[in-house]
Amino acid sequence: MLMWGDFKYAARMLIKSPAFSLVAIVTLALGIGANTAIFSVVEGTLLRPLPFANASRLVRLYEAVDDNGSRGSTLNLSEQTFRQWREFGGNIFEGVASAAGTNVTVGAISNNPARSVAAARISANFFSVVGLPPALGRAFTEGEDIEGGPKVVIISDDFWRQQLNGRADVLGTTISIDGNLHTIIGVMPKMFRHPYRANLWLPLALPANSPTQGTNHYLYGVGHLRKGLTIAQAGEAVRRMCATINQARPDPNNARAAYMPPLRESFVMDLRPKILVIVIAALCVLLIAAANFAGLLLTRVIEHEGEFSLRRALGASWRRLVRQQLMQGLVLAMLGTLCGLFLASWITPALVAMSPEGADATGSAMREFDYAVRLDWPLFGFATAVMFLVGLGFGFLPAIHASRIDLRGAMNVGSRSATLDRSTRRLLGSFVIVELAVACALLMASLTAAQYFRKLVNESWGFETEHRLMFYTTFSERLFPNVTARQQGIERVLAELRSIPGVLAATASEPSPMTSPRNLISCNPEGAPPPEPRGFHLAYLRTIPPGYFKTVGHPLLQGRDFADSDTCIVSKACAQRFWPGQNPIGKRVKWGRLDGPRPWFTVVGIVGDMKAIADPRDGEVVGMIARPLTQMLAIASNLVDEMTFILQTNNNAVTEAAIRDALARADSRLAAYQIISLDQASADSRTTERFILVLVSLFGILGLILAAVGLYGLLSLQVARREREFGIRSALGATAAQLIQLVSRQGASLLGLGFMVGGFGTWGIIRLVRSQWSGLPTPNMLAWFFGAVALCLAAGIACWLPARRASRVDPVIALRAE
Amino acid sequence: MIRLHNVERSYPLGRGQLFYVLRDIDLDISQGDFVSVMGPSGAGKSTLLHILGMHDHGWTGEYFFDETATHHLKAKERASLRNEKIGFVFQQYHLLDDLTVYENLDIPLSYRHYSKSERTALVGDALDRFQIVGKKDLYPRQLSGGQQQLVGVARAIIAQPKLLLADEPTGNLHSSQGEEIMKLFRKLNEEGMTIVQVTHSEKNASYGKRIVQLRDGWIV
Ligand SMILES: Nc1ncnc2c1ncn2[C@@H]1O[C@H](COP(=O)(O)OP(=O)(O)O)[C@@H](O)[C@H]1O
Ligand SMILES: [Mg+2]
Repeated sequence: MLMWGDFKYAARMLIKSPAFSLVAIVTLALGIGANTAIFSVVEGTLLRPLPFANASRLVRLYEAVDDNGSRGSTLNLSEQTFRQWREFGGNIFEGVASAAGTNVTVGAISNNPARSVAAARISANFFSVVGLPPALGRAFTEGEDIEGGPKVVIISDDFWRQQLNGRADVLGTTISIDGNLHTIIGVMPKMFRHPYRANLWLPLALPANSPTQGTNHYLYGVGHLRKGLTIAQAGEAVRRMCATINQARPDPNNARAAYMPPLRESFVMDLRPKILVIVIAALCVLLIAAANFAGLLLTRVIEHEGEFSLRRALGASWRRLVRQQLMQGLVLAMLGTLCGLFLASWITPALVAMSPEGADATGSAMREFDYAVRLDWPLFGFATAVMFLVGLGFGFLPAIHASRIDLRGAMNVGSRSATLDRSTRRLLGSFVIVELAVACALLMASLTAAQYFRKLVNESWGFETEHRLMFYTTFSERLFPNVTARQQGIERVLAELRSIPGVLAATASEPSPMTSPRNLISCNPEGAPPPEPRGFHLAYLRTIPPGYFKTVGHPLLQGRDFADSDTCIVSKACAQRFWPGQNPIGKRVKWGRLDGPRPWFTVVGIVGDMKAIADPRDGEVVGMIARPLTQMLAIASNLVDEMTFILQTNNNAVTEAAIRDALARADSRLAAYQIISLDQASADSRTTERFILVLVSLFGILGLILAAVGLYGLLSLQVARREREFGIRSALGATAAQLIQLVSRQGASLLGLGFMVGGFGTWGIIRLVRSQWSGLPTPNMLAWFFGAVALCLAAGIACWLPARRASRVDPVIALRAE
Repeated sequence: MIRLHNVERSYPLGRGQLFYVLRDIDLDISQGDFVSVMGPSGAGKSTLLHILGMHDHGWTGEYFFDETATHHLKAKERASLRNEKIGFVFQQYHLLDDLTVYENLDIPLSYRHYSKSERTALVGDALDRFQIVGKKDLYPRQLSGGQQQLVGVARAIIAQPKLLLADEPTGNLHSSQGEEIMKLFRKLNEEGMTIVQVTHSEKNASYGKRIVQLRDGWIV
C-alpha cells in the first residue's frame, strides 16, 4: 500500500521542515532511548531471571522466631537448624543447602601479589540444590564437606581468567588460601559469583559440635521445594516439622517456623519499592514523550491543511493524501527509533558504570548471577510500540479526521483560516495538559525522592571522617587457631601501624565504622519485660579495643572508656530507649534472651548516635552496643575474623605501601585490602540510593524538557495559525505587551490545568509508592514550591518565544488582501 | 487635518536596487473631507492607506496629522496617536471568527483607556445605531457579507476616531450591499467624520467629495 514514491515525498517534506523533524526525532529518541537504557540497567541488576535449572522451585530459608513466620522476626539459619531441616525435611524439600560468606587471603600467583578475595563456604549439595553445575570439573562431595576434610576449591570464571590467565589445565593445580595449598576441582560458568560475590567456593565444613550452633544465625539457606508443593503448603509443613523436631530434641533455640520467599524475590525484595519508583518515573517520561509525538504529528497535519485542500481540489484522492501523511509519521518514527536505539546503546554502559554494582559495592545480589550488560530488547520493543501506537493513533488519525471536516472552510478563506477548529484545539490542548500534568507529578515525585535520598546521603556519621584511613584484614581461624594467637596478631598489627610516621593513632573495629547494620546483637535491658513476641531487642554490635571512640572522633557523652570484661558502651538512643529519664551508667544489659545462657554487661559509658540505616526486615534497632575486643574474641571468636583497622593521620602522607609494609612486619601472611580514607568511603556509601537519586532526577529533568517542548510546539502552532488575528488586533490598537499577554495567558491556563491534574497525579503516585515503601517521606512545601517554580520557568520559556513572535506580527503583511 | 509632503515608500529588490511603491506624494486632506483613492491594481493605494493609518513605518518624507509631525514620532507614540484618532475598515472584514459580534466590537475599546461601564455603553450604542442588536451574540460566520462589513464599520468607529480609513470596503460585497455601506459612509461624513477610502468603482467614488488617482506610485 505504501509506495516508494510516498517515501521519497515524505523524506523531502521532512527535510523541508528541519526544526519539526528534529524535535519529533529527539522526542522519540529520548522517549525510547532513555527508557530502554534505564530498563536495561534495571533488568540487568534487578530483574533478570536466575540462571538455575530449579529456579522456579527455589526458596530462601529464614527461620522465624515467632510462630507465624512473618517477615519481621526472621533470622538466617543456625547450624543446628540447618542440620535439623536437612534431616527432617525430606518430604518438603528435594534438598536444603546453605552457605556463609567470608574473605580469604590468596597467596601470590606468579606476578600477582597476595590478596584478599571474596569467598563463599558452601554445603556440598549447594550447586546441585540450585541446579547449576560447574562449567569445568565437578562440585564438592559430601566427603569433602567435613571439618578437616581435603583442601579443595572451586573458582569463578573471572578468577580463572584474571588470576590464572585462563590456563586450560587448571583442574588439579593448587593455589594457596590462607596459607594452605588447595586443589582446584572446578570452575563455575561465566558471570556467576553467587553467593556473596564469591570468586572462590570452599566446602562449608561445619564444626561437628560448636557451642554456638543453636544461637549463631549466620547461614544463608536455600531450599528446593518438592514438586507440586506450594510455598504456603511448604510453610505449613515446616511448621509441623518444627513441632516434631522440638518434641524429639527439646531446645529453646529450635526454630518454630520458616519464612520462605521465592529465592529470586528475596534478592530484590528491599529494592522493589525503589524499582517501582524508577519504573513509574520511566513510564511518566514515556507518556510525556508519546503525548509530545502525538501533538507534533497532529500539529503537522493541521499546518498542511491548506495544502491538503488544494491537492484535493487538484484531484488527489483522499486515500493518497492519508498515505502521504502516514508515511511521514512512519519515516519519523523509524528515524526516531534508530536514534533511540543508538542513544540506548550509548547510555546503558554509562549508567552501568554509575550503578552501584558498576562501582563494585553490592547493592543487589542479582548482580552475582549474570551481570553482563545488554540492551533489553523486549523493553525496547515495548517503548517503540507505545510511541508508534500513541503517536500515530492519537496524533495522526484525529488530525486526518479534523482536516477532512475542515476542507470546505480551508478553501474558502484563502488558505489561512484564522484559528484552529475548536475540537482540534481541544485535543491538542489536552495533550499538552496531560504532558504538563505528568511532568508536574514526575517533578514533585522526583523532588520528594531526591529529598529523601539527600537526607540519607548527607546524614552525619556521628564520628570524624577527615584524616582517617581504614582497611580490612582477615584473621582466619586457619591462620589463628586460638584466641590468644588472634589477639596477639591484632596487637602486633596495631603496634606496627602506630609506628608508621604520620600516624597519630590506630585502632580496630568489627564491623567497619560505616557498616553498623552488618552485626546485630539480641539483648534485653535489666528491669524490663522482654518485648513480645520476639523476646529480645536488636542492637548494632561493635567490637573494639579501648581507645576506639577517641581515635575515630566519636564523642563520649558520659562515663568512661572500657578495658575490662563484662562492660559495654551504648549509644545515646539505646540508653534513652532502655532507661528513659534515668542515669544509664551502671545499668546492665543481657546478651540474648533473658532466660538464655549469655552474660550480663554493665554500661560504663554513653556515646553519641551514629548513622546506620537498618534493614527493614530487622524491625526496630534500638541503637549501638560496643563491647571490648578481648572479651568478644574469648566468647565468640567466629564472629570476629574480619577486622577493620582505622588510622588517624596528621596529613595524607601515609601511603598504601607503608601500611602494607607495617602489616608484613606484623605477620607476613596477612593482607590489607580496600585501603581507603573514611572521607572516600563516606562518599562511596549509599551508592544504590545515589544511583536511584540520579536516575529519578534525570527522569524529572527529561520530563520537564519534553513537556516544555510540547507546550512550545502547541503555542507556536497557534501563533502561526493566528497570525492574521494578531495582525487585526495590532491594527485595532493592541500593543506588543498586550499580544504577549494574550499568548501567555493561554500558556498559563494550560499550565494551571496541568498543575491541577498533576497535583492529583502526584498524590496518587506518592500513595502508591508509599504502600510499598513506608520510609518515603511526605513531600515538604519547599519541594512543591521548587517543582512549581521549575515548571513555571520551563513553561515560561516555552511561552515566551511564540508570544514574542506574536507581538512582532506586522499588520501590513498579515492583512494584505491576496 | 492631514498633510503629506514628499512621501516615498520603497522595497528592496535585491542587489542594492529599490522598488518604489509610492513616489513624491503630496496630499492635503482637511477636516470633514471624504476622499476616494482610485487606480489600477498594484498602484500603491493600500500602501498609502497603511501609511496614513500609521501601520507602516518604513517610509520617508513628512506627514503632519493635525499639526503633529508624525515623521518625528517614535513607533510607540505613533501607535497611541493612531489609537486615539484613526479607525480602519478592511476589504475582508477581518472580524475575529472565535468572538461574537459583541466581543468583536469590544476589542478596540479593550486596547484603549475605557472603563468597563463606558465600554458596555459604547458597544450598546454601536449595536443600536447600526441596528445589529439582535445579532450581538452571533459569530461572524453566521452573518452575511454585508452584515459582517457593517460590524467591521461599527468596530472601526466605536472608539470615536476623527479619521476613517477603508481599503476597498465593498470589494467583497454585492452591489446592493455595497451601496448600503456607502450610504453609511456618507452619513458618517455628514456627521463630521473625515473619510479616506480606496475603491475601484466610479459609483462608490461618487459618494465621496473628491478623487485622488494613483498610478505606479504617482498621484496623477
Ligand atoms: N512588503 C512588500 N514587499 C515588496 N513589495 C510590496 C510589499 N507590499 C506591497 N508591495 C508592492 O507594492 C505595490 C503596491 O501594492 P499595494 O499598495 O498593495 O497596491 P494596491 O493596493 O494599489 O493594489 C505592489 O506592486 C506590491 O507588490
Ligand atoms: Mg490594495
